[in-house]
Amino acid sequence: MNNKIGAKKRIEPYMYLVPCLLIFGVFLFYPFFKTIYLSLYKTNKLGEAKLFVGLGNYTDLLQSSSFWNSMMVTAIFVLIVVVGSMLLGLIAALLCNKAFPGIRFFSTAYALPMAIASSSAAMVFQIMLDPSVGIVNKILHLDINWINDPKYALICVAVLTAWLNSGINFLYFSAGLGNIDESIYERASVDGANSVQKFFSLTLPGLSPILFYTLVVNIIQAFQSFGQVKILTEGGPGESTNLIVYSIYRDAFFNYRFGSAAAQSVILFAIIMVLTLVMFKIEKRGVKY
Amino acid sequence: MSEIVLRNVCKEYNKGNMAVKNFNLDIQDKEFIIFVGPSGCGKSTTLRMIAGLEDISNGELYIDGELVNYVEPQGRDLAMVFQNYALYPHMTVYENMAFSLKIRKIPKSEIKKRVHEVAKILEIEQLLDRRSKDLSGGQKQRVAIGSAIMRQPKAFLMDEPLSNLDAKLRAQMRIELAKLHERLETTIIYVTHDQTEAMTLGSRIVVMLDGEIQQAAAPEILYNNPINKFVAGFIGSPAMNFVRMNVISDTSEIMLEKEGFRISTKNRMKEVLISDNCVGHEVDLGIRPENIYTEVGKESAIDVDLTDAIEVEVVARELVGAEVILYANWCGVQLCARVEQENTSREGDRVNWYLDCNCIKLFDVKSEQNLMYGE
Ligand SMILES: Nc1ncnc2c1ncn2[C@@H]1O[C@H](COP(=O)(O)OP(=O)(O)OP(=O)(O)O)[C@@H](O)[C@H]1O
Ligand SMILES: [Mg+2]
Repeated sequence: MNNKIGAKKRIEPYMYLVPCLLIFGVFLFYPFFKTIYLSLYKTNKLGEAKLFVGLGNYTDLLQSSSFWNSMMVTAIFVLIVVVGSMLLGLIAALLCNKAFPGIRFFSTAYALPMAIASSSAAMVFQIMLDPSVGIVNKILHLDINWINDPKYALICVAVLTAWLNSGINFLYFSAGLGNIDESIYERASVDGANSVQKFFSLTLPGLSPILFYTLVVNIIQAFQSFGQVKILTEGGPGESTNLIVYSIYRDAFFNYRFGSAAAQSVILFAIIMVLTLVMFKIEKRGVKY
Repeated sequence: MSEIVLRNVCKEYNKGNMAVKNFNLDIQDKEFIIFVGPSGCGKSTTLRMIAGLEDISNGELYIDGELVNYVEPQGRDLAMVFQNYALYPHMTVYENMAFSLKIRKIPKSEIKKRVHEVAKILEIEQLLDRRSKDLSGGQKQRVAIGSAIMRQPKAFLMDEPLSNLDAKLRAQMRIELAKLHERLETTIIYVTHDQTEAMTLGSRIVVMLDGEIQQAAAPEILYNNPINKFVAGFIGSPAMNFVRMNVISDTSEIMLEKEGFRISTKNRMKEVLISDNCVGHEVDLGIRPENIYTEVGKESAIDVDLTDAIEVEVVARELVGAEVILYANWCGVQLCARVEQENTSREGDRVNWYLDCNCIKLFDVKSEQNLMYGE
């Protein structure tokens, strides 16, 4: 009798978790393990594992120049996107931190990219960057084929992504700035600090917890950008914008090399995980508060 | 050198809502000015206008003869202790105190020396490595004071800097502040609700009410010669007693009368009552608790001139250290007397009290002005 109640008590908490675990299981854990499983096999066109090759897919990748190109492109892309989107968000948040007429309009404008689907933004950019009718060339009096020039294509996609991601950063930073006690700026003014000193000694440290959080989220988000590449450049010209996520998509659904795609997914996962872990390690030492 | 002059300074937060009205004050170099007044009377606002943190709606502010209405706080070279401390939360106590020197590019070794010196005075040496957000209120307050006195600015602005300390520490810090003022010879403008601080530290006390200066004078002048009923009641603790009296004329004498009790007036009091046409009307009599006696013949000072006895009923007895504060009811008016500890009056006793005629103040019933002001 007693035992039964005890058992019930022990099981009860897990019962509450079941719905959540079920959803996680179907949409996260199963695909995750299936991917790892697939990455060890050669597959047929339907994506069924046919021939066990062990780490063969991985060694193939490490010897493929196309894969290394993807890694390189991704690294540059992530760097531009993260720096760009965080700077954009931070500057917008700093500008909107003071009350002035029309602040609501500007706040909405800065936060808006958050609400735009990456593919629709890409379509708008496609028109704007059009070499003959695009507004960018018109305004800058240039004649550059932005999207089809390997020199510029990656930068175009990265800038678009940075802008898209800046909306949510703006919100995070605005909230973070709102949390900083106004009176410490007053004290700093009386103490004789100028705006630059105030920014570096008060604003940045005050934002540091949120800064760190946005950095992690932004890196992960940047790694996973897909829609804008698909619409704007399809990985080209050549392979100049062949981000790893796009390369996975291409390998799986055009080349039917599900094994190789799965292996790339696993590598991407490992990279993001390591980066995140490293950042959390650094955070423990670096971030104040 | 730092003279601070306020000319008709006004602060209007919302239309028609004046937080500070026509504030006129000449603060001399090396003065220790105290702002007192009830909560919300505009003390902090005035201080913040001097610091440059609030725009001055109207009037002029001069520091050392220079109009500074439009000078940024950075350019005014003042140091301020904020009412809410305003410590930098992510910095340690040491960094907080060092901040104003660090941004002035003072050498590290000198900063270190200064911080330790000041920390020692304020007894916060053991806290130097602590994050400032992890401190108690009183500790934060001392760090705020410490951060302010690291430099030698033109003037110190202190907004209730000791309000959160325990009694012993407060007394100690009061002495330290007095010493600091003597040593640095800098102007200090100081807001407080504490009577002792105001009376002991201030070279001049500014009493404010509803954004206006009521009186600005040295402590003993405020105490002995308040300009109106508000100042009289505000300065001194416990507060002055007020009794409404009739002014009657009886043969050649002018008397103050209430329910059969009479005080005959002499000299200046009499002159004032006559010249101000008070005879036949009412006045408010003010008498401080320390000028009420419970026995005849025990008065310590020589020039004490006691009235006839008033019969009061004691309603409360408070022991405060060496003294006893007695509250009593006299014909529906509450009176308060400060007497020696030996006094044995208890609640419910009916006893005789005597007022010191020489210390009686008279106030106009309507305008509340001190009728005997400026003797
Ligand atoms: N930012 C503001 N906006 C509108 N009104 C304000 C503002 N700051 C202060 N006030 C008003 O101005 C008046 C004076 O405020 P102030 O802070 O100077 O009072 P104080 O004398 O320092 O009071 P306390 O002793 O409680 O600190 C108050 O009535 C207050 O409500
Ligand atoms: Mg105040």
